[in-house]
Amino acid sequence: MTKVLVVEDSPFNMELVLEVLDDMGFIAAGVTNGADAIKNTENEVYDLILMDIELPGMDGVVIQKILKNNIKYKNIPIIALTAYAMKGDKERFIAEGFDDYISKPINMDDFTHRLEKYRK
Amino acid sequence: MKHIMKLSAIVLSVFIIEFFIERSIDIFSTDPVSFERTIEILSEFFSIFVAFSIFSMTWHAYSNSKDNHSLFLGAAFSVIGLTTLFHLLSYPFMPDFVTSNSLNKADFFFIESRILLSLSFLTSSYIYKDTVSIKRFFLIPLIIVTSVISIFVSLSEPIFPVSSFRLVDPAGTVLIFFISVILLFSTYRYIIRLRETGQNNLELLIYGMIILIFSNIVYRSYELSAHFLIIIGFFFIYMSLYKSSVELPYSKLALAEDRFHSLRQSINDAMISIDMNGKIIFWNNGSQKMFGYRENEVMGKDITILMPERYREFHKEGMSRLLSKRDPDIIEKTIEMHGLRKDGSEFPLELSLSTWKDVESRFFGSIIRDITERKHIEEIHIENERLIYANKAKSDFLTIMSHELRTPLNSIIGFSELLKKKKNASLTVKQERYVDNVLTNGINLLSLIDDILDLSFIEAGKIKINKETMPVQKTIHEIINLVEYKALEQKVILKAECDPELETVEADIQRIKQILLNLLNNAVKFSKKEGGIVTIITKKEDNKALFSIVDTGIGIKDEDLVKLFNTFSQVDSGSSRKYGGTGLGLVISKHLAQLHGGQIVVKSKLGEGSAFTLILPINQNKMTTSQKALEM
Repeated sequence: MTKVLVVEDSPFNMELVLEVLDDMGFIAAGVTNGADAIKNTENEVYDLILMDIELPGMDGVVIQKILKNNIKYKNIPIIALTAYAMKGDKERFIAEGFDDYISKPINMDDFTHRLEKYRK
Repeated sequence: MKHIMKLSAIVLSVFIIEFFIERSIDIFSTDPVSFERTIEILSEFFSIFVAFSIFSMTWHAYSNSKDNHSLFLGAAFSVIGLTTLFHLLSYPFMPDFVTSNSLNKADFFFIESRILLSLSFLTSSYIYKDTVSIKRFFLIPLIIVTSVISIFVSLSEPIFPVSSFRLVDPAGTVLIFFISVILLFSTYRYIIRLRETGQNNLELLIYGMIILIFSNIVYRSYELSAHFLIIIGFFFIYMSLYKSSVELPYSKLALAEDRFHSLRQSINDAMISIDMNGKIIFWNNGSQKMFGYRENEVMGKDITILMPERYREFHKEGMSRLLSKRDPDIIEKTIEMHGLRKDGSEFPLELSLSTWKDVESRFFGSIIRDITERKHIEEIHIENERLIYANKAKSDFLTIMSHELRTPLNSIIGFSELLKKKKNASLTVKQERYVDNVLTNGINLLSLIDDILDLSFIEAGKIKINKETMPVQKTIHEIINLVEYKALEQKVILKAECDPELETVEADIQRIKQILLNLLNNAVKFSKKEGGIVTIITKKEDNKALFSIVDTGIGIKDEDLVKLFNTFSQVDSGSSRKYGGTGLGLVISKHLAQLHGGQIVVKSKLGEGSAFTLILPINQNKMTTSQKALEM
């Protein structure tokens, strides 16, 4: 089973993403901030992390860097899932170390298609 | 040679004069001895007078000339003059001077003055003009000491074996010879110095010295001529020192003044001086150019005519403050204010003040610079800063707005899609249409946000065009694929007619796709339902690529064509409700075409359809490519 951690502070968007992941047959867990994200990563082995950027406290870029700098988690793919969708944003987040980038609002078909390849 | 001629002429004329005087004494005078004495006293007296003149002139000129050489010689001449005076007073026919007079005593003083003279010249030949400046005060004790010593030596004459000192004696001859040698040596040094430095005044000095040597030589045989020669020699020395200590510094000053005058006349800045009553006393050409007044129009006028009304009171206060304080703090600072031209116009200026005073009055000088240009540049700079800031604020705002609008749209669109796709949702037909409506409008809103952001960035000049080689046919097919579904829905037929000669275009592929998609979407949207035809035609014309999108739609009225590319203008306000969209697409497309160096042209007939043509230069890098080829 594929385990996915969703880091997202908006409850509506959290519910939406969890629902879609559930429909896809993934096992999804959600946290709303960086501290919880790191704690959860320590306790559970995830196959994929979906990371919002604009978060209370640490932003998604920082959390991503902390996780990637830890030898234990550096192989977990982290996808930026963000409403920062201006020209150049995708390149910026990839350069920061994210494995992929999906802009909000999500396009359902595109979204499911992109996540398929992480299925275990 | 010239010099020798001159000197010979002088000496000769002196001898001729003596000869005639001797003759006239012999012929006319009843008492030749007393007449001769009178002449002698007069000539002695005259040389004393010249000696003291030399002293007084060099002494007083020193404060300006700083000429150590002249000062020393002057001081020496004061002692020489003094000893010559005592020599005169010691003649037997004069009343007793301190001790009883004798020819011997007079000779002592004479010899002494000769020795002093020769030693002074020897010393002065080692003093140069440009050595360290000294305080005159220290020369006074030196003069006094030397004078006192020489007086005492001569007055105590009885101590020495007097008779052997008489000038006719061999001892006297040796002494005169010795003195002459010293003088000759000094003269030699001065001649060398004249050659080295080219100081013209030294020439006169040398003349004087040579004449003095002559006077020494002839003294014993022709006493009267010797006296005349001394006067003439002293006079040459006087002239020489006058030149070096008065004339030279003065002409330097005059030259400096001349230079400064031409400088301040040619300078572009205005230089204006006023007296303590605020009346203009100096006005240069720069001032005339700046203020428009000629010199004769403003001389003696009050400086306030050059200031706008609002500064005048302030100026008066400032003047009285300046005059009351010893060390005014406004001096040497730069002040910015406004000037008033003759024609009444104002201009910004920068002003720096200086002040000086003579015995009874204080003056103020100002250098004024017209800073209109600088102010203008400063204003532009400030405006630029403001624009940069505003631009940054705008783009920050856009970034945040984009983010904040997309976040709720994610839920709106996402949940609508979920609702639509969930198989167990069991919606009624009506409910399904509602969901569709939410979804469609959500997507419309999203594309509106994209359009607004695009437009904002284009207007802020933040769009970059990344040119690459765009394959035309492939691009056209990709676009058709994207619109095909929609065309099918509306039962509009899509056709493409591609010119095989137009293979590639140098352009930003994404941006060209954006333009063509927009045009194509519009064409489909405004086509007649069922049976409408939209044709994409590509064509190569010279170095231009033409992309025409022709529809058989509702067409556009002529008067509306011009409005087409304006922000937020759909042709009629009703149509936005009917056809959707904001009309931003065409504006963005036009800007993007322009950024490529191209344009969009429209032809339309109401009721029959429209043709939108994107015209692009095929090879925009033609110049640079050929340049590259050249470089290789």
